[in-house]
Amino acid sequence: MSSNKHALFVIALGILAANVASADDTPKLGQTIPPEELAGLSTTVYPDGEGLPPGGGTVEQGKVVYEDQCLICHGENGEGDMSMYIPILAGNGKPDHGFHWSTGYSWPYATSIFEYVRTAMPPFNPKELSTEEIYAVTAYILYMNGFLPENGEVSQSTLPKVKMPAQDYISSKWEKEESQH
Amino acid sequence: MRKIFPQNEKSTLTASFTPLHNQKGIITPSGLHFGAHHSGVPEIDPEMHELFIHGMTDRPLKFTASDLMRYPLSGGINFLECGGNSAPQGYYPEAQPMPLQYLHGLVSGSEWIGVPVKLLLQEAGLNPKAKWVIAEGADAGSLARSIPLQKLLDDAIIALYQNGERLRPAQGYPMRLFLPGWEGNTSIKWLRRLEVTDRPAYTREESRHYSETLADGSIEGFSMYMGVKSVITHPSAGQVLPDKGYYQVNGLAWSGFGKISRVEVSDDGGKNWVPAELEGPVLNKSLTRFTLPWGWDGSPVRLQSRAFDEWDNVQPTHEAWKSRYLEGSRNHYNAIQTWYIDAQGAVSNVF
Repeated sequence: MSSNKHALFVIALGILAANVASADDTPKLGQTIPPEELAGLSTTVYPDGEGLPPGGGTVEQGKVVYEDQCLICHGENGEGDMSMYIPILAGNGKPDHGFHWSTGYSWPYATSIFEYVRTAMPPFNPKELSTEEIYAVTAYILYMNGFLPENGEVSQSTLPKVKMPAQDYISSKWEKEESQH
Repeated sequence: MRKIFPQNEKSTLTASFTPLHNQKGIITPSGLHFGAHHSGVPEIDPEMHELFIHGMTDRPLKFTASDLMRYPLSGGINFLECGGNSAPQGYYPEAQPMPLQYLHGLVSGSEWIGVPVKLLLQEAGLNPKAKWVIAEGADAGSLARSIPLQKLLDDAIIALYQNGERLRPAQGYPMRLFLPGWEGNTSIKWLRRLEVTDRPAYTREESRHYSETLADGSIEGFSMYMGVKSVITHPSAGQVLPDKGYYQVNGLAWSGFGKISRVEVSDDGGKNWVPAELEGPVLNKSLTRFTLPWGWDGSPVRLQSRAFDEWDNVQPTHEAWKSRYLEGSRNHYNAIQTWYIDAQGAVSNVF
């Protein structure tokens, strides 16, 4: 009786083992993304300009967009109000305080301004500005920081070439820590 | 308890703080988990939501939440901490009369279960030159972070469950990225897209918002790991000791690098330290409970805890932490907390 039980147990184990999958197996349920869905999927913009759409805008056009869409929170000259967590857009030098920083002197790449306005601004009705309006208001923010002249403009090809001062004083803590752990 | 930042309805940023003064143990009830939402909390129909994996892959793939439920699940008990937790301590020159919840309540502990990200990346097929992944949420502002690929191939999961139940909307339902030990902002909620690439995008979050200003005015970004930290929760600011005599000091310690190895307690402002007991499970990148039997003689004391992790990281003093950063820099504050207990037993925050 007991040896029969033992034999049954061995058989059961064998059946289980035959059906065990390897640790790397998955059901592989991913569906290929069709080309038409893939085309408009990414809104990411990289510092070298990859992801920027064709187009451009002038400081002059940007002033109109800024006054209409941004000024009520960020202020006439991009001064913001950090007591209300409204970021300062325009500054005049390397940070001299750890929190009262400006987009102009603490973001290393101008392409990030385009990307952020495109996806998240203005906060209560994001993703409604046109490509031309986004380029224009990006130009105006750069102008308020003194990085573009009053008659300046940016485009798909020129925005990545705008040199932001923070490129010279930003570093990656992750790179330092990865080398230690 | 929810705290809406005072922005006169000009911004969508909101935050809620975990009531650590009421928590005993390493699990925060899901409904009390802290939240910091940059563009509100979206309501997402799980049948409509898809996760897209594309970019430098052999095949661009998409998955529904019900697809992911059929994958091998893994995970564990981990803390999640906002990069801006304890910001008042880093920011203000003087210690603020705030209770524990507002000082340190942007950290919580949960059991997070989900699909290892590496399984999905392998299924899509990684280009050998891939090094970074842009992770983006389905919130109104499409919050995005650039994540080093090696973290996603290590212990990252697409979390589907928190503390035994499906994620709650404020925690990213139907799915969120969960990166154990890393600053909370990188664990993208309502995860919609993983774009595989070879370089970071410098999104808004990593351009400045989640970075620190060092003492020389330079900016340190990509501060991914949450440093070793501890805080005494009982007694803590906002509480009153009713009488002198016996108390059990209770607290929580954690490190984004690994396990807590030791916690020490001082009641004389850091001159003498005694080892606390590590209670219950001591887990990787998890809240860890510590206790110490303590007698209060009724005289004013400065009560502190300091934590060590298995990599010999030590929690710094407030002065040492402040000396590394420019005045006003407020993220990644992990210094030793001092609670001052006056002769009446009232506990307050001091430096």
